[in-house]
Amino acid sequence: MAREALDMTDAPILIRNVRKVFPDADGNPGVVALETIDLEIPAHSFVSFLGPSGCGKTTLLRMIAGIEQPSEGEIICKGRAVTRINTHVAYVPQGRGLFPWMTLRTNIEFPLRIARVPPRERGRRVAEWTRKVGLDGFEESYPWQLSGGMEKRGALARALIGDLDIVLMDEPFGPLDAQTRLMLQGDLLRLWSEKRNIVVFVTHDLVEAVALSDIVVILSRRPGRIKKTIRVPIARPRNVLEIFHAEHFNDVYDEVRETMHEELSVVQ
Amino acid sequence: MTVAVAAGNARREWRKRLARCTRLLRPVLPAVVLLGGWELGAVYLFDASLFGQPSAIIERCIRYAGETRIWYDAWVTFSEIVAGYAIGVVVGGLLGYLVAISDGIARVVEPYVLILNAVPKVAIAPLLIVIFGIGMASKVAIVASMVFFLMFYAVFVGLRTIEADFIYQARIMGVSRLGEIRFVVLPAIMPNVLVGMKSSAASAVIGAVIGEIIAAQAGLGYFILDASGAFNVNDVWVGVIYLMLLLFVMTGVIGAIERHVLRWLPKRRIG
Repeated sequence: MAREALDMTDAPILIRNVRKVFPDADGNPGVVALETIDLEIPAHSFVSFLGPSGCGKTTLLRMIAGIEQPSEGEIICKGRAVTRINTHVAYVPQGRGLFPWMTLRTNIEFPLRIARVPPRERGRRVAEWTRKVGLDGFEESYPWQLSGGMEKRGALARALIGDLDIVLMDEPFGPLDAQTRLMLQGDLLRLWSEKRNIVVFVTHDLVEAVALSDIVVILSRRPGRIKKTIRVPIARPRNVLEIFHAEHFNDVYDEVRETMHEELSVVQ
Repeated sequence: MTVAVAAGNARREWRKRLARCTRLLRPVLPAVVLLGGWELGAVYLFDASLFGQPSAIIERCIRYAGETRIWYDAWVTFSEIVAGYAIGVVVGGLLGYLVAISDGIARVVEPYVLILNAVPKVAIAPLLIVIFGIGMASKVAIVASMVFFLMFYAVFVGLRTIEADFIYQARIMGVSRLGEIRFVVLPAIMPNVLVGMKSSAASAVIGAVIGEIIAAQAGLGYFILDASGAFNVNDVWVGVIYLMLLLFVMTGVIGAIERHVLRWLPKRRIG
């Protein structure tokens, strides 16, 4: 992505010169996780952070969510600097998606309950979203009674039910088997296309990044820097199952793969 | 032909029934052997006035059940336990919570909890009786002091091991400080709270009985002391059995609470 700096500053997410240093055990500055990250995420775009493990992609996402603070530079979300927990976003963390002590219904309903949406409206939207993610009939199940894929679909519904402009996802499909992953990637694209909010998606899966995104941001090994930003011109709606046959897929995939390969070969 | 088959079926049916019977009876067998051996020993081998005799103990248990005295004693012990237990659970849990969430409070409170926990509660029981008198208050204090530490550490560990992502998730959704405690923190530490409640129930009974044996005018511990003073071994056993029943009731109630509160936990077993 060419940096059309000034005329793009109305981008909902601006990451400016961000550096992140984690203190070591004694509290002294230790590991540099991210170095001079400069990025603008335009409205209605699906953006992936792609990189080898330990490159700081999760840290970058957590900084947008306000869970971590940059050591230098700043992150501006919808015109305001993120200095504390960012309540303007929805966040799907790595690992367990739902609160294990709540039923699926209570889980999906939770963001609305916090936002004081009236019960009748809540019930209607929960019914709508459980149907959208194909979990109707499981409303009273607890997360341990659901399969990994079902729990993730529940987490998806909970992240999207609030109708927020920005959704952050940290390797949401990481632990799933290949079949379920494909299904869920398809579900995510279908649901996203209804509203086209910003999705910032962290993954280490190359195909996943290309198949889903408008923009793939490739991060280098630690300290993570933006190695390359690649636009994905594949037309939408996309069929995740047939993505290998889509026009432009091979070109983009090769470009991403080569960039990643350079990065990985540095190790040797 | 058909007769033979029918006979075979009947025999198989009968064998199956027998197998079911033995399966049901197997866990009871050790108890029967033990009590039977004890009974026979008391009649033929050793002095029943030292060891007691099961038949006499059972007979007395039933007889006492029809009188008011043992129920009064059981009631006194029960009240001491419930009051001390409630104080210990609430104060221990609350302090464990405060120490876990605030470094400032932790710096002041934690060393004292550590030091006081090293005090054997049984050793200071006489002191508590001097301070609180020989009535119920001293026993309540002993029970509370024993339950307190178990609950303190149960809640403390629960909070220290809480998955931070759950809290962040809720905060990003915009949950209030109070909502965070109600919807995330409390449910997340409930498994630890119930472990603390279960493990301290037995300690609570021990605490009350120790107090009553040191100095009391009523209670099952006092009943036992009284019986042993009169060399009435069978009655000592009666007191022990009523105490066991008390603990069964308590663990039963706590178990029911656990099944309800932790109904979201996976029902799985290892092994």
